[in-house]
Amino acid sequence: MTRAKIELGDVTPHNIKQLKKLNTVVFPVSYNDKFYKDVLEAGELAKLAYYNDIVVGAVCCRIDTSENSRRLYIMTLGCLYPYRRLGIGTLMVEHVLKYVEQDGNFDSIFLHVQVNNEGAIDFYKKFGFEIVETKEHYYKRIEPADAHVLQKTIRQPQQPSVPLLNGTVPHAKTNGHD
Amino acid sequence: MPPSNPLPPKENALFKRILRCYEHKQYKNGLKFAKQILSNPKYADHGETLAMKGLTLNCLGRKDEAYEYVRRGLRNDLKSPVCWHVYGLLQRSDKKYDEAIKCYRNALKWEKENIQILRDLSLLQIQMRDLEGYKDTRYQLFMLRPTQRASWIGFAMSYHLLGDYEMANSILDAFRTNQMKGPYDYEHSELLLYQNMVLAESGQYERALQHLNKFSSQILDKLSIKETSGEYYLKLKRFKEAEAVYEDLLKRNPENVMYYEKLIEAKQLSNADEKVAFFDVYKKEFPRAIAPRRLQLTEAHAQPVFERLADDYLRHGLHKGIPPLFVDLRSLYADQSKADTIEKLILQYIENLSSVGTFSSDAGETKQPASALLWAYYYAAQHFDYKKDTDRALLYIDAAIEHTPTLIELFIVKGRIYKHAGDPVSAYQWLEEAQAMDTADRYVNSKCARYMLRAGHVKRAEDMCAKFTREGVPATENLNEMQCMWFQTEAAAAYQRQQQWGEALKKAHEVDRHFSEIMEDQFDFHSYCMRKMTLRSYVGLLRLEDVLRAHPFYFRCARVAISVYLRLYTQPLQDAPQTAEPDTGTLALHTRASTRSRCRTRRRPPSPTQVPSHYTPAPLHAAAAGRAADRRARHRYPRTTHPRLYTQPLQDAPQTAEPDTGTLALHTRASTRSRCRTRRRPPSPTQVPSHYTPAPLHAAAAGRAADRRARHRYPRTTHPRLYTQPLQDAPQTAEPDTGTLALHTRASTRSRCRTRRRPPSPTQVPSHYTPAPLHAAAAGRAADRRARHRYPRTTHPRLYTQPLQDAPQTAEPDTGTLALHTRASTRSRCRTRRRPPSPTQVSCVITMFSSSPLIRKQHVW
Repeated sequence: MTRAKIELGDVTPHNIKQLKKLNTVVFPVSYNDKFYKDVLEAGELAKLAYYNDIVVGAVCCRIDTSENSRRLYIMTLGCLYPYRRLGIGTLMVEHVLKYVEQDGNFDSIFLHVQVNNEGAIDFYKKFGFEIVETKEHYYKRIEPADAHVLQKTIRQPQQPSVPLLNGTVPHAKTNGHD
Repeated sequence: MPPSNPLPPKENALFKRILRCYEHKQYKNGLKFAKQILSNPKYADHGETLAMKGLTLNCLGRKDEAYEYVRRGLRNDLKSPVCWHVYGLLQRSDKKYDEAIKCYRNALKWEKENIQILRDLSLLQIQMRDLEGYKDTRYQLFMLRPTQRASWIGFAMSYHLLGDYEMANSILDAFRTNQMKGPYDYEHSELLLYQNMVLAESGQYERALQHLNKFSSQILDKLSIKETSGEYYLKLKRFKEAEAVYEDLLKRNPENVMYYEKLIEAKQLSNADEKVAFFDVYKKEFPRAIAPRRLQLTEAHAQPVFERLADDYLRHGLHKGIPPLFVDLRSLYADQSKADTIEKLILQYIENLSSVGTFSSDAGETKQPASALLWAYYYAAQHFDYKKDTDRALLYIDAAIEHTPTLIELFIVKGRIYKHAGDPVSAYQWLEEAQAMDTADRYVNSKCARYMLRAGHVKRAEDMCAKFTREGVPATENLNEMQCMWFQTEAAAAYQRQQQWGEALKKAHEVDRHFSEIMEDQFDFHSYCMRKMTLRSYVGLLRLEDVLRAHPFYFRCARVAISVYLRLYTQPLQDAPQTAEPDTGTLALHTRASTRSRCRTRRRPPSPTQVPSHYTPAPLHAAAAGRAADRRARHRYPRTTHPRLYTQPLQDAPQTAEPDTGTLALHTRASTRSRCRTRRRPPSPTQVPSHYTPAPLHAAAAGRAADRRARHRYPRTTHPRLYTQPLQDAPQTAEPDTGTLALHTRASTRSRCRTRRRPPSPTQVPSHYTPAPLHAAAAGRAADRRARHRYPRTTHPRLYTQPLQDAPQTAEPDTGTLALHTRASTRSRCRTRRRPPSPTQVSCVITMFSSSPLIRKQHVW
């Protein structure tokens, strides 16, 4: 029996509805129109994951330049439940890592994870992400509302950087979910 | 023959230049020269110049002036072949082919051997399928230009089309031996294959086979050689040889289903076990081929064997995620036990896949991909939908959507389940969902538009289609231009359900026009194929065009148009009821009832003036009236209720049976029926609900009644158009109660003819190739249905096409058919004028020409 085929594809105005569907099912928070509008402009930073030609996962990132550093922020990365543990998430993270590597000008990659999402935390730790901070009441309408900030450092900051402080980055707004 | 009033040299030179300008499409210059001649008062009435001026004007789009000048020219010089030829060309450009033929014949009267006129005439004759006339013309062309290969080919083909295979073959033989030897090109190869086709059609397979073998080295189409020789071996019962041929062919293409079937025939396998074993061999030989595996499923009948094979097949399909797996297997469902076996297997897969991730509960089995369960759900949903088990179908499709909400196919199937259950509104909403998920998918887009039409949302369907039509042009216009007939047929039906009669007719006529256009387009091929020597395809084309209007698209649209016309006839739009009691049942019922009552008080059917003329359908009028009716309808019934109510009865009765579903339309039909029962006679046409496509029987009944009345009022005019199509179906076997419109009418014509003791003259009968085709189709359809019973497949909707296959050799004049009639008269005219060459004459001629050294020299190709 042949192995299943897993590949990434672009997000286009034609298939953006599939991304919306996927995100609605995978994430407990919903994203606004601005989020999807930006995603269409994101190029390689937004990808759909196909498993045997079916859309089963997606990753959406943006470049964050706050706090005097250039960082890649993973807004969403998810996979439909029946298709987890098949290497789809790994493919997407690897894509992001490759993007960051090729760009060569990122200080770090970071993201938010609900504190009870142990599967996700373990998953990211595999790739060298670490919990650098915990934000209380990060999420508005879901329980638990707290989020860990996971970060993978790409290069050491050249100038002494300001440590991340609670609440300095208004992620809840820039994140696009409401 | 010189023109009756010749021009002096200077003017004559100018005239020649007009001709040249015409040929080179320099119309403006042509007009200038014409003016130079005509401005001379001595030649102001010169016929040929006037005619040429007219022809040139025609090319510039000034049709009215063109006719005026050509007619004036002709009047001034009735004996000029040029004037007649020009008049013929003008008529031809207007598609008035019969008139054009008459003109050419007149032209030939004054100039018997004009090649150009003869050639043009032959094209018109083949277009009109005047095969006898075609043969005569081709004979003349052959006699005049025996050195041109087109003369030979056309000559041979005229005999072939008339079924005189021997003569066709000997002409081709003579022509072939006439040619220089080698190098053999594609055209030569096609000629040989055409000759072979002629031999095969004459039923002489032995000879055809010998011919094929003899020339196989010169034929370039190797696949055709193999396929036809295999066919011949089978026909000649030389099974061993046939077997070898088809085995060879399978190596070329192991997916060709026909090869397997023929191979089974060659191997003379009859019982199921043998056939299953046969496919086992080829499954091994071509492990990647799908055809042997699928065909084996059809042949396997023993339950355990089928289960084993189906298990293999399904697992493979689900593993790979083949979306049309169900469609592929659906034909097996004709066998209930096979359907049951498949159901058992699928349910077993679903159970195991959802618990342990494998197809069976065997511990050793490898895990299936995550998508296997999804495809199993998908299959199960379609399976239960097919079994009309809507609840379970929805259960599985919802499970599938829950599993993978991003798969577009799931939403299409969900919509389809709703459609089959009788809810076109939910159906199209699900399709809309599917469409939104991939707006670049034209298939989903079209499906969605179609579902919208089913739900009565014509405008939205147009907007949907507009996403894929050319920009800057209204979608409907572009769809019409593209001959997008599925859309137009569905739109016609949708308008009909909404009682927008005018719009419905407009769409139906658009489709009809496409068919006319396809017939017209044939014209160019008459000369092109002859030149390119693609004769086999050409004959195929002619035969296709003969049965063109048998196409389902045409039938569907004709049905819509017929029932709309019947409805408009029985309920003229002018006196739609003004006093609507708001609470009376449906609009349709209501209207009908009141019409009837009005009729009763009048004690006579609505007068012709009240009835919109359906003879020369004026779709625009109907449209105007239709719009008015719509406005009223919409007023009374808020738009949303309509489509759903009317569309539902089209499908089977709703399975999701909410007790109160009993739709209005269903109601209506029930009540009509009950009323009928008490009266103990079929419903009168006014009673028959015409707001959805009526059951054929109803339509026929209505037709009969309408016809009866029509005959009273329109003693002659209404009839002829009914004759145009149903003719091939001779009424000998008419059971009295089948009495359809067509039969009826014909019978009465015949009787009238008999009293007159002569067939209707051509003037009484409208020309049979510009009929109001939709009407004719009404009658034709019923006739066709019967005809098809009697002559499965081979019969054709139009009589004049039949002579190709089995031409009636002797036309009885009183058959009273238009087509026959016309042809008979043509033939008789031919007979008086010049007899067709007898076979011996022809062969003499052939040998004469082929032995002439002079000709051989001229053949350089």
